[in-house]
Amino acid sequence: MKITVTMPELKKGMTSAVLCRWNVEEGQQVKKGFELFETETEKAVSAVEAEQDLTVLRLLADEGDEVAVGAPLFEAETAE
Amino acid sequence: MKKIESTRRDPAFNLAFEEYMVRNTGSDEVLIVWRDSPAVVCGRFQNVFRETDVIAARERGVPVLRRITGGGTVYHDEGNVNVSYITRKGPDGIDTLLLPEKLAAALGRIGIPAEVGGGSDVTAGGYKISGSARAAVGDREIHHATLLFDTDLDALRSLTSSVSGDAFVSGGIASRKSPVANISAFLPGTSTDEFVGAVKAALGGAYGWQTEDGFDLFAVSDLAGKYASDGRTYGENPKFAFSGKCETARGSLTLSYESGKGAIIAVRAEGAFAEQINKLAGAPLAPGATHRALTEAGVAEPDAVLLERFILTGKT
Repeated sequence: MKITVTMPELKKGMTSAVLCRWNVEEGQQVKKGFELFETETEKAVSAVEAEQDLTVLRLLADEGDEVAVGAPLFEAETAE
Repeated sequence: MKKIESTRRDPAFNLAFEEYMVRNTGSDEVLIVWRDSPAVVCGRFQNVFRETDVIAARERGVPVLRRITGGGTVYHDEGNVNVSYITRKGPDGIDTLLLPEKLAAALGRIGIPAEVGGGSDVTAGGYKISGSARAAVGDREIHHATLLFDTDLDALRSLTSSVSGDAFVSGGIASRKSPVANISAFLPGTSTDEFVGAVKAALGGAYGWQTEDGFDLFAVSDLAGKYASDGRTYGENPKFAFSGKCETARGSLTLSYESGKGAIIAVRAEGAFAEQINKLAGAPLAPGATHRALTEAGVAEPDAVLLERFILTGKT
């Protein structure tokens, strides 16, 4: 199934975060728990893990972009 | 709560000890107090070249390191007291004010008119005396703060001021500059050791403190090697672009380049030394390494020294 992963609300009330680093590239298969990308907001660094096994199809944001909560980050294919 | 005061002054060791503790300790809470010999410490995702003059730091023998937490660039020396607080991740995400509020309360108990202000800073008398930053690691989070007690503020200002904001046109989290003051101004006659004792007592009680010696120092030392490496400080630099102009013994040089993963990805030079500099695609960006790349491209002394400074700082 094709899904679009969006910027999560990593902290209550957060409106956006800077996408600091991609740890995946297009075409990469990752297991649940893999750290997909890292963000920073209010001097706090957070890594976001895959919630399920997936294949990254297309990255939709660049490192350094400020991405709003709910805005698309990447498209992926999952098993179900 | 585990309460630890590191007896070491090696900044790479202490940054590694922080990371080791957040990744490996089973305690619900860990409090670490530590001091470093002089060092510039940038935030996890900062463009180190925009935040500090890496050539001046090398000339002064001050290492430049990249920590695990976010935020801006700070200067450490033995007059600056670092406090790290590790706890389990809360359901609402990282609480930005968790450590600043603990510190302001602790400082208040030892007679300093401290308050939380300016984001997650702690101020006294209108000046910043403490900055803080954070990171989530697995199911835990680490909060780190500096306490400027008797820091060399001239060194702090000269090594943490922006190098050349015009030259570095993008890349990374930028530092926010604030007027700073030393806490010692509020506690005349108090030594840094006495202040550390007072802070420890106010934050964690006077008893039950241990040193780093009770932990896996082989593992920490391994990790410290990573923190001390160019691969960490420069190789993990975010993508950025550079554009600038300088005067050399052979005339003007106009240079633009793009960088990623600590190296020059694409370069375009016009004017003096253009032929040699246009060979630098793929060359590492780090003091010493960039100089070697210039030498290998055919630039002789003293021009290689000048050009390395320009490439890494935007000035000559």
